[in-house]
This record gives sequence, C-alpha cells and structure tokens, in this order.
Amino acid sequence: MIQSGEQRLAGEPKRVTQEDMDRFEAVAGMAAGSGDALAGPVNIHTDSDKARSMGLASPVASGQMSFAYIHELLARHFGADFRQGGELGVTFLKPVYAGDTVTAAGMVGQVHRGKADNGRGEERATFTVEVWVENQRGERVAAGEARVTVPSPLT
Amino acid sequence: MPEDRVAGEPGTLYDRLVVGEQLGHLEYIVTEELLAQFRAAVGYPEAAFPHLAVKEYIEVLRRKHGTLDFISAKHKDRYFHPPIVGKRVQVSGWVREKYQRRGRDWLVVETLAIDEDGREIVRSEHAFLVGGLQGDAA
Repeated sequence: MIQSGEQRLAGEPKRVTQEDMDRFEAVAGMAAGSGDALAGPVNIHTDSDKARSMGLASPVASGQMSFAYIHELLARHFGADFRQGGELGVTFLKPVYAGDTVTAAGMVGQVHRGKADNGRGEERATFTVEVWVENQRGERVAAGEARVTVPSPLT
Repeated sequence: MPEDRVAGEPGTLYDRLVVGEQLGHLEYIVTEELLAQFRAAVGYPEAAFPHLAVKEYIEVLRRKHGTLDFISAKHKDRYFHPPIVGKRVQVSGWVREKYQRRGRDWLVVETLAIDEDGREIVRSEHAFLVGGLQGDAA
C-alpha cells in the first residue's frame, strides 16, 4: 500500500504481439455484437492496408492497450480504491507496433490528507500519480495522471 | 473511401456532428468469455475489465452515423463500480467538443456506462483525430 509521496511504481514489461492486438480488438467486436472471439473488427490495429491508408507504417496497438497497462499498474498498487472512485487521464504520444515491449510506470507525487465528511472521522488520503508507458527504447508512448483517494468514498 | 468518411468537407459526417448531440446507444452483457478475452489480450489475469475495452466512444458514434476513421489522442476515465459478470451494461454517449487544430479535425466524445441496476460503472472522455496522418512526416 502506498503511504507517502515520491514513490515510484513499476509495472511488468509487456511484449505486444499482433495476436494480442487482434484479441483486444475482438473484445470490442464481441461487446458491440459484431463479432466473436476469433473475428474482430478490421481497422488500423488489425489490418496492414487499413493502417497504411491512415498514414501508418503498419498496424499499431490501440492506445487503449497502453491505457489498460497503466490501469493494471494502479490496480495492483491501490486495489479497489482505484477501481471504485479512481480517475485516469492519458495522452497517446507515439505508436506501439507489434514486437514492441512496453512498460507502465508511475511516480506518486502530491498527497492530500484529510478527514472524510461521513461523520465517522475516517482519515483519507488523495494521491496524484504521474503515469506513463515507455517502450524498449525508453520513449514514452503514453503519459498522463491518475488520482486515487484511499479509502475510496465509494468502497 | 465513402464521402461520409472524409473529414473536413461540407456535408461530411464530421460536419454533421453537433456539439451536445446524443449519440447511439450500446448495450451488452459482461460475460466470462468477454472477460477472459480481455485478460488474455492485456496479459493480466486479474484484470477486472476496468474500462470495458469495447471502445464505447466510437461504437456510440458508429451506431448513429456510421464508420468514422480516427486515431486516438487522449482518454480519460472516472471509475465508479466495476462491471459485474452476467449484468447488462448500457452505454450512452454524446459529442462533447469538436475543433480544428493544425488544419485537422478533432472530436471529443463523452460516454457514461451503467449496469442494468442503474449502478454507474465509468464515465469516459475520448479525444481523437478524425481521418489519418497522411502528409505527416513519418
């Protein structure tokens, strides 16, 4: 559990494959009712021709995959307090291609402590966390900020 | 490419979008299969299907106006309650903002997902570049 500011959070390296990208897109297709686990949408994440038509060298991983890696990082460190009440904002900076290895990381910065206004005198801390995903070359492919209150008012 | 997929021209899909406009409605059931697929894709066996991963922002747009080519720029979520397997999720969305920057068309779509019991799951804001990167230096 995070106790104070200036603490670095490190995620696990993820090697992104075209199979992962196809599977991720298939989730969207399944939920949208337009596909199944084997046949996801044809888009810049799954199809070379489509990617080239949009000015990309080859299919790129959805920014939502980087978003999910940051989500995992925060869920591992803050648990239910992040999943219920947390906020995460990310800007996608560079494309992630099949074969890239990316790692989510964060730095806990500002911590605001106070009492909850629920009449029980409960102590609460709100953490602001700088987050990012970098590739195997050390380039940030996504970056942003998260905010988590512990314990969450929603738990 | 069909006419209504070309951004920035009179009468195109992008031009027809109105700020504040309600977009299409998406409903789906969170199944074990969906959750397993998501967990496998992100390599995290304990993933709680955090942000639904269904690109609901583009799906609500597609359901009303058809396909739009885009590249994601920013995404912001606020989480309320994780979705529950077996429950139906309902997603509504609307156009939050549209603007031009550096000669390109940008769109911001906001969505709210709730479950069949009315529990709020996640509120999201997604900004994307309409069209592609043609003409940009690689």
